[in-house]
Amino acid sequence: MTTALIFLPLAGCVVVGLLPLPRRGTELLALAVALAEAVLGAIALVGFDVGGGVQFAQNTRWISDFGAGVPVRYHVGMGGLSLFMVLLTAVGIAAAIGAAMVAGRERVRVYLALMLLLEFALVLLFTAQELVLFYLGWEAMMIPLYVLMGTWGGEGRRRATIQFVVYTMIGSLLMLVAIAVLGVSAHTFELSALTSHPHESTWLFLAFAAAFCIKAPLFPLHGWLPSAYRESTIEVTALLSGVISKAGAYGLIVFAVPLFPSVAHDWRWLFLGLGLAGLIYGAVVAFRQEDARGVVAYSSLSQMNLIIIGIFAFNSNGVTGAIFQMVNHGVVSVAAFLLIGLVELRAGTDRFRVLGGLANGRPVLSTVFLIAALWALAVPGSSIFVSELYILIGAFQQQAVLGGVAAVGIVLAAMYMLRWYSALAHEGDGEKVSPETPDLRIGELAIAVPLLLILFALTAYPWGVMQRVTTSQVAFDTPAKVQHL
Amino acid sequence: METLAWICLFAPLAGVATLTVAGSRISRGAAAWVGTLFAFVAFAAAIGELIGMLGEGASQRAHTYTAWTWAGSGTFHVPLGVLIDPLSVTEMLVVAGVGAVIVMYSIGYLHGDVKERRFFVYMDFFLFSMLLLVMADNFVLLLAGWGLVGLSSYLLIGFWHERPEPVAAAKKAFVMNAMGDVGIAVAIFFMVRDLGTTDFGSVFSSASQHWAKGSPIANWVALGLLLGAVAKSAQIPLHTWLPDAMEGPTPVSALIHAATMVTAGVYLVARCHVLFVNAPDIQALVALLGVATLLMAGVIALVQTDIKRIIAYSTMSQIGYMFTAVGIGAYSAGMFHLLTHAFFKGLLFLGAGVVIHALGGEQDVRRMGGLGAALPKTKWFMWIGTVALIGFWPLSKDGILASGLEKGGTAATIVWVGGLAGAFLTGIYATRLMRLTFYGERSRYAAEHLHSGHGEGPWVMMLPVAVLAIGTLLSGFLAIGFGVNQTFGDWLANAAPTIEPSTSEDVVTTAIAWALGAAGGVLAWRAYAQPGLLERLKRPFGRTPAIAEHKFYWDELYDTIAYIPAAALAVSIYRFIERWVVWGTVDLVAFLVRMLARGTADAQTGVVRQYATVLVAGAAVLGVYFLSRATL
Repeated sequence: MTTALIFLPLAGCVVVGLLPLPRRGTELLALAVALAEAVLGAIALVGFDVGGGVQFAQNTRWISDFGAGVPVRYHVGMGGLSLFMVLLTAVGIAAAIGAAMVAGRERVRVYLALMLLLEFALVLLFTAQELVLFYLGWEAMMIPLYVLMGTWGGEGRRRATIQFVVYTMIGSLLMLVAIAVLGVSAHTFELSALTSHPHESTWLFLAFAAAFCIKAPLFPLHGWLPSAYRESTIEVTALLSGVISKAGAYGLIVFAVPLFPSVAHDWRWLFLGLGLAGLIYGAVVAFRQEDARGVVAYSSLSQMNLIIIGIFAFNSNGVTGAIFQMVNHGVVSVAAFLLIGLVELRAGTDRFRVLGGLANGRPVLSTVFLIAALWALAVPGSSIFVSELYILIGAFQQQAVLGGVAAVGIVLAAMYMLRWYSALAHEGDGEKVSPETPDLRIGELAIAVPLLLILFALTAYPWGVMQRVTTSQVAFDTPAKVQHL
Repeated sequence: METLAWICLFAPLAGVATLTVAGSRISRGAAAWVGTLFAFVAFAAAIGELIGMLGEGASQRAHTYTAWTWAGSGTFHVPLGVLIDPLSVTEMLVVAGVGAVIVMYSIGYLHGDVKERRFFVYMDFFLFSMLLLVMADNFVLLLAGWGLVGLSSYLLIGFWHERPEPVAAAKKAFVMNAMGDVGIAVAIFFMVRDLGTTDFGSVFSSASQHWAKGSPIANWVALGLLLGAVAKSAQIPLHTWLPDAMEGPTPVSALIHAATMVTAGVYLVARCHVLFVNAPDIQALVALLGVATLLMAGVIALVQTDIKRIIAYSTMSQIGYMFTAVGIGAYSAGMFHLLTHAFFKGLLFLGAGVVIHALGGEQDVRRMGGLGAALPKTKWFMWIGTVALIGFWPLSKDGILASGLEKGGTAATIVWVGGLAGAFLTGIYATRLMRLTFYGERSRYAAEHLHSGHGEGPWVMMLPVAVLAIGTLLSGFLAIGFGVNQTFGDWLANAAPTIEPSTSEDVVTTAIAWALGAAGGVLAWRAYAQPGLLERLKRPFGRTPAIAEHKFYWDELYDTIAYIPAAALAVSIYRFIERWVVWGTVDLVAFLVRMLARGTADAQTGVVRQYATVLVAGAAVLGVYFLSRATL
C-alpha cells in the first residue's frame, strides 16, 4: 500500500512527462494521477487501525553495505501522522494541479510532471521509516521545487530560488552529516532501532533541528520565505506553505525529538522562546502587509511557529494539537493561496491598494473567501480552533506565561485575517476590479469546494484525526518519561 | 427529550445549509420564509423541552446528552455534549423564541434587499451559535459558541459592507470580542491543567477543592471568564464596540445587540456562579463594573441623537443592572431581568425599526417628531416598552436592587444607590426618546419623507412587535408567581440560586425606583415641551454634556494607547528587523557560500536552467548508483 502510494506519482511523472499529448490531455492525465493518489490515500485511511502503530509497512533489504558495513533497507510504512501527511500531500497536489489547469501554465507537460515528482518525494519522506530513505525523499523534494520556482513565476524568481535552495541546503547538509554519524555509530539507519536507544549528542540534535527549522521555518530562520512565497507561481506557493513547511514540523516530531529525547527536552526553551517570538512576530508583520500573498505568507510563519511551540511543549495536548494543526493549516493555506491565485487571474495583481469590492455582486466568491479567512483566523468552533486550543493548553501546561502570551495570537490572527478579507472583498470596487470581474466559475469551484468540505469534515469530527495520531508520540507523553528514556 | 435538544440546536444550522445550497434557485421571499421556519422549529423544540422539564421534580431537572467525542488527546477530551437544565432551557426559550419572531420581522424589514437570502443565512447561523453557547455542557463548546456568536455579529454588523462604516464597526466588534475569547481560553487553560476537564459538572464540583477560596488561581479563572463576559456584554472597559454595531440592520440590533448575544455575559456568570463565589473579589468587581457601566451608559444615552444609539446605550445600561445582580449573587434576579429585557428591548428596537423604515432609513431623532399620528400602533407598543424600560412593570430591575439591600455590605450598597440613580437617568432618556420621536412638531424632514398611504408596516413586521409587547406585559407575572405554579426564582433555584429580599425591602426599593423613574420622565417631558427649560437645565453641568457626547473619550483613549502604538510597532518591526536582520541572514548565507565556492566560480553562469540541468543530472547519477548497489 505504502509503496503504491510512493511510486504511483513517480510513474505518473514519467508518463505525463513523456507522452506527447495535447495540453488538455496532459492536464487531465496529471489530474487523474493526483486524484488516484488521493483515493488510494483515502482507502488507507479507511483501512487504518486506530492505535495500531506503523501500518502498511514494507521492509526489504536494499543495499547490504552502504559504506562502513552499514546496511540500508527499503522500509516504509505509515503511522497516523504519516498517513495524514500523505493525505495532505495528495489533496494539496491535486488542488495545485487543478489550479494550474485554471491558470493555464506554459510548458504544462514539464510543469505537471514536476508536480508529480514533488509528490513522489513528499510521500517518500513522509512514509520512510529509515534515515537514508528519508534523506533521499528530503533532497529529492528540492529538485522539482528548484526547477518549478526558478522557471515559472514572477520577475524576481531567480534570486528567490537561489536564496531558498542555498538556505535550505545548508540545513540539509548538516542533517546529512548527522545521519551518517548516527548510522555508522549505531550500525543501522532504521528509525525504530535508533529511537529505542536514544542518543545524547547535542550537536547531532542541533544538526537535525537546523534542517527542519529552516524548512518550517522557525523564527528567525525565515529569511527565504517572503520572496519565495511572492515570486513562485501560486500553486507552488500553496504547496510550500501548505505541505512542504509541514515536512519540517514532521521531521521534528518523528526524527529530531525521538532520536534525541533528553537533549531535545533540555533545549526546549530555545524552541519555545523562538516559537513564541515567531508567532507574535509573524502576526504583527502580517498585519501591515500590503499584498494578499504577504499577509498569508507571514500568517503561515506565525502558524508554523505555533506548531513548533506545540511540539516542544512536551506533552500530549501540545503535540496532538500541533499535529492536528499541521493538517488544518495545510488545507487552509493551500485554499487561501489558491484563492489568491484566482484573484490574480482576474485582476493581475494581489496589491490591496488596487483591489476591493470583490463581494459586491459576487456571492460565491465572497462566501468561499470568507470561509477560508475564518478558518485561517481560527474562528472558535472551527477545526483550527481545536488544534490551536490544544497547542495553547500544552504550552500552558509547560509554562503558564508561555500559554497566556501565545493566546494573544488569537486576537492578532483575527486582526490580520479580517483586514485581508475586507481589503479584497469589502467597500467599493478597487482600481483593478470592475463590475464585469466574474464570480467563481464551475472549474474554480471544483478546486475550492472540496478543500472547504475537508475543513467542514475536520470541524465536525476533529477526534477522527486526533485519535489516530495520539499513539505515535511516545516521546512526548510526559517530560518525566522523556528524562527516563 | 434528547432528540428535541438536538433538534433545537441543529435546526437553525439546517436552515443555514438549506439556504446556502439552494442559493439563488429559490426566490428571495421564499428564502426569508425558509429561514424563519427553521427558527420556529428550534423554538418549538425548546418549548417541548420546557414542557418535559415541568413534568419532572425540581431535583431531576438536569440532563447531559453527548453526541460524540468532539476532540481529544491522550489526556484531555472534549465531548460534543449539551446540558439541559432550567437555566439553559430559559435561555433556549429566549433565544429561539425572541429570535424566531425577530427573524420573522426581518421578512418585512429586509424585503427587496439584494442580499436578502444571505441575511437569513446569517440570522439562522446566529441562532445556531447562540444555542450552542447556552446549551454547551463544557467550556470548550461554550467558547466555540461564544466565538461563533461573535462571528455572526461581525457578519451582520458588516452586512451592508459597501460602505466603510459598517466594515470598520464589524471589525472592531470582532477584535474586541476576540480579546474576551482569550480571557475564557485562559480560564480553560487553568481548568485543563489543574482539573483535567472542562465539563461543567466536574469543574463546578471540584473547583473549590483544587483552588482555595480567594486564592490567586481562583481569581485568575474568574477574571478570565469576566474578561469574556465584559467583552460580549459591552461593559466597561470593553464596551466601545456596541454603539458602532448599530451600523447593522435594525433586526440585528434587536436580536443580537439587545435581546440575546449581549446578555451572554450575564448567563456566563450565572452559569459559573460557583467559580465566582470562589473568587469574592472578582465577583465584587462584576458588580462594580456593572454599576459603573449602567451609570455611564445612562448619562451618554441622555445626549445621543441617533435613535438606535440611544437604545444601544440603554441596553448597555440595562446589562449593567444584570451584572450588578450576578455580581452580588442574585443570579435568578439577573436572569429574570435578562428575560424581560429581551422582550422590552427587542420591542423598542423593532419599534424603532418601524420608524426608521417609515422614514426611508433616517435614524436621527432631531429629524423626527410628531410621528405619533402617523404611526399610532408603533407609538403605543413602544410606550409599553418604555414603561418596562423605566421599570414600572415587570419589576425585574427592582428585584435586583432589593436583593442588593437584602445582601448588604459595601458592593451591594453601591449597587443599591447606583441602581436607583440609574433609574432616574433611565426615566429621562427613555421619555426623551418617545417625546422626540412621536410628539411635538413634525420636523420638515419627517414631513417630506414619511411614506404616506402604506400604513405602519406589513403584518410580518407588526405581529412580532405585538408579540413582544404581550411578552413584556406577561413576563411580570413570572416574578410574582401570579397565574403560574412556580415563581421564576424557584424555577432557577437549583441552577442559579438567588437572594430573597423581604417584602418591606421590596416595597421600599420599588417605591423609590418608581418615584425616581417617574421624576426623570416628567422632567424630560417638560424639558422638551417648554423651549428654554432644556438650556436652563443643562447650564449648571458646564462641559459635561459635551464629554458625554464624546462618549467619555474611550475610543480616543484606545486609539492613543493601543492602536496607534501597535501599528507603529508593526511598521517599524517590518522596516528594521525583517528587512535588515532577517533578510540579512539570507544575504550572509549567500555571501559565505560564494566565498566557499570561489574555486568553482567558472561554473557560476547564473542561468537557472543550467543549474537545473546539472542538478537533475546529478540526481540521476546518484539514482543509478543507488539502484546498482541494491540487492533487491
